[in-house]
Amino acid sequence: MAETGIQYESPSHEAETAQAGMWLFLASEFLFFGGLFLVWTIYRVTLPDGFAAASRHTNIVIGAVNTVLLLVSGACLSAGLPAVQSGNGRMFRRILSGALVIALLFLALKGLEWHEDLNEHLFPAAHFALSERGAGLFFCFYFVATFLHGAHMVAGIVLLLWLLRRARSEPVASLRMPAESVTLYWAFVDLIWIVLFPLIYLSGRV
Amino acid sequence: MSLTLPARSYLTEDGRLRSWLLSTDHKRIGLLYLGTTTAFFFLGGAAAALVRLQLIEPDGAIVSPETYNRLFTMHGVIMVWFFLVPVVPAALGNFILPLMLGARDLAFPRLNLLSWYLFVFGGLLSLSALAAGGVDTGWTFYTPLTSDYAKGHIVLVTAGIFIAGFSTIATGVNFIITIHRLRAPGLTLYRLPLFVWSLYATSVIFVLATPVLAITLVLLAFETIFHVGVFDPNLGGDPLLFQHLFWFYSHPAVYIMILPGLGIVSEIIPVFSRRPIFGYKFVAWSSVAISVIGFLVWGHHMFVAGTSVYAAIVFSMLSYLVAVPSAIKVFNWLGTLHKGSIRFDAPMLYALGFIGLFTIGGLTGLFLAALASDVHLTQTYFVVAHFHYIMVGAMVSALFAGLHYWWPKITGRMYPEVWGRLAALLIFFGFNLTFFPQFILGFQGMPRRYATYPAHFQVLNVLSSAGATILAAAYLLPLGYFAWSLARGERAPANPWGALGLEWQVPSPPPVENFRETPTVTGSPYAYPPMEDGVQDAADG
Amino acid sequence: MWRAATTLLGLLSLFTAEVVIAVVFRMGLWALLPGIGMAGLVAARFMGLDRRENLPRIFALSGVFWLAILIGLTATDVLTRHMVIAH
Repeated sequence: MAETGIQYESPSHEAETAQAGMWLFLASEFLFFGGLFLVWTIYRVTLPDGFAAASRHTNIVIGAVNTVLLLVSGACLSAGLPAVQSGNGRMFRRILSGALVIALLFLALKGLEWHEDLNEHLFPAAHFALSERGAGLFFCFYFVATFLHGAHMVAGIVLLLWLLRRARSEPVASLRMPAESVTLYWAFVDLIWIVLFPLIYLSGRV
Repeated sequence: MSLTLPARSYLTEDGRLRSWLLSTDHKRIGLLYLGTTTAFFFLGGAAAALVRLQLIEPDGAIVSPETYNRLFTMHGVIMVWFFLVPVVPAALGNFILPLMLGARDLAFPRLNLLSWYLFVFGGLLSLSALAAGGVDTGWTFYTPLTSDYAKGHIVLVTAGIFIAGFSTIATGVNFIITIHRLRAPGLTLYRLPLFVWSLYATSVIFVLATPVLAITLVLLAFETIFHVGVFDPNLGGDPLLFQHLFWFYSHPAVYIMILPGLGIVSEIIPVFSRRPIFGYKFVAWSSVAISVIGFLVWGHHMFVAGTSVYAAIVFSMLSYLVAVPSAIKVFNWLGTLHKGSIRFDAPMLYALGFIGLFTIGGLTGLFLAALASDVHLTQTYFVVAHFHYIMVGAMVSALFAGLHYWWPKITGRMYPEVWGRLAALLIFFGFNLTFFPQFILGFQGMPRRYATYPAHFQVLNVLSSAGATILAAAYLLPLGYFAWSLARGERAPANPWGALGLEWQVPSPPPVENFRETPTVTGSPYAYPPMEDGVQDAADG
Repeated sequence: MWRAATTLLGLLSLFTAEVVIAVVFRMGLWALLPGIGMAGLVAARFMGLDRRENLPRIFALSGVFWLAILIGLTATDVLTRHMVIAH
């Protein structure tokens, strides 16, 4: 890590400030997805039948596997922080690589799922497979939400790669600040998926 | 006030263009913002000038109705997102905030620089779309008009706004964290300058409202590209949901465009009346109150859009609530002025003009918050006049107040005082002549956003356009004399106004690191003696 | 390590619960409750909210609170739009 900025009293002053900043940014990100949560809530209430019917056309197996994958990757990264603090570079690099593999697996499964959805004409344009009122709105929500979550995953993967590269060339103890920030971000992407999963795959099963 | 010039300052440290464009110094980034927002101001102003020119004749003097739609859209988009929202926080706030806190920089200097690049990139993206033919939807982009019927480069314009939005989120995060974490020792909550309180309140809106605009624009772009989307009535979607999402950001954004101005005026009034601010805690907390209550009132933009009557009643009552903290501020400024020894320097003239314009703009807002009168006045020039009084009249006056007040600190030069006062008076006069007739026009029923109008509205429209000419000239004046001051202005002392804030304790212009040693704060920034010594006793006699 | 492992265990139990609620008992909307519990658990443990000073907690709460404003006030319109009170 670069030396402490001139505006800080100490490295720990700087590190804690960076954490606070990351949290505030994530609160902002939460409201970004909040707009989608609003859309879901309103239509789930006003058009319950079509929305629920459409939800049953999603692939719950892929959704569930992906959820487990993300939970495990989040646990991995959070277990990586003690490794950073104790200076165990090898352990930390392994954990990062593991999280990376899981993330890529998630995206691959997501791609497969989208592919199937499109083959089944679940994109609500011409030849849309469902006729219930509200079903098209559900799939608009589905595609936008999964796309935006996927975009956040990609950003997370870039961050993981960057961290991994630094962990190869720098003593791992100096990576505390970026490691904590990336872990926070990753856990947040995790959290968003945890909210999206029941909204997309479970709520319609009534 | 000795005129010792600093040996080196942030201005002279490294003059190469590269060092400016890659600077992480909050002062330089503030100036980068000032330059770019000024450019956008004159672009948006040019569009406004064409609009006023068109409306001199009832049948439209110069352009077709289609072009007219594009003009006022361009005016709105540029002025809202690329001038009014960033100008005071990101330009003046960026420069002054760390100085006021006794800090050497913002918490995240590189993020600060990134935010400027995002702003410029977003601005150029939107601008290129506007130049390539523009959009004709108005700055509000309502669906399904925008997604299904409008012509033009909607995705490109909204992409630019989306990116600029993230630049304001970055600024907001930076400000909030800096205020929490980088205050000098002794700078407690109630010793903070009121400009800092108002920047904090503004940043809350940046951080918590802007992401909702971002997702709204994503959903809008999706709908425009694929012709299906979550607001699509053909799928059973609710176009009003777009308006809810849009105004959840855009109403608080109105407070982004006034809160920093309220802060500037709260700084200037005590300095130039030599009195401590009246009711410091009320002025401080009223900023927070405006920011929070501002999130609860957006429905008043939709009273005639077909929303629920019951929701409208709730939103109407909540809208009245905003008047309370706003009025607290005005009364407390008046309380500060009372029995003060007032100096009418240029910053003070702008600040006093602000109070007048803000009061008119605020009081006319009550007519629009009231359900019954809003049904008559909505979508008329009354609304146009109301929000221009706040966002242009008041906010641009506050911007100029702040710019004149801190100009000596920023540049190390004084500006020609006479010209400053003249411009202040001209802006006040020109603004009122432009927009007061629009209240009457709106009250008489002239709708907004039309390229033509019935002939009996012509007199007031010509008056308004005449006022706009004066206003344009008055806005150009500072550009001229500030440029002159940069080259020829008298050297400024560290504290030309005898003010107490921390920013006046460093040389003008400040050195790169602001404070050689971290200052310790022992009192309020407004602890002015109640009166000039002796004078007051005699007056009280 | 223990912290991460126990948290993961908790998350997987809640995950199983929500899937069972939706798929076996066909009570999809109730599946949201374990979901919210999982989100809380991730915030507390993986994001370390249980160990931090107050500032991040305030930020996290503001995020949730402002989302409630967005959904709550929009709902006042959408849920009462077609409501007519008989005279």
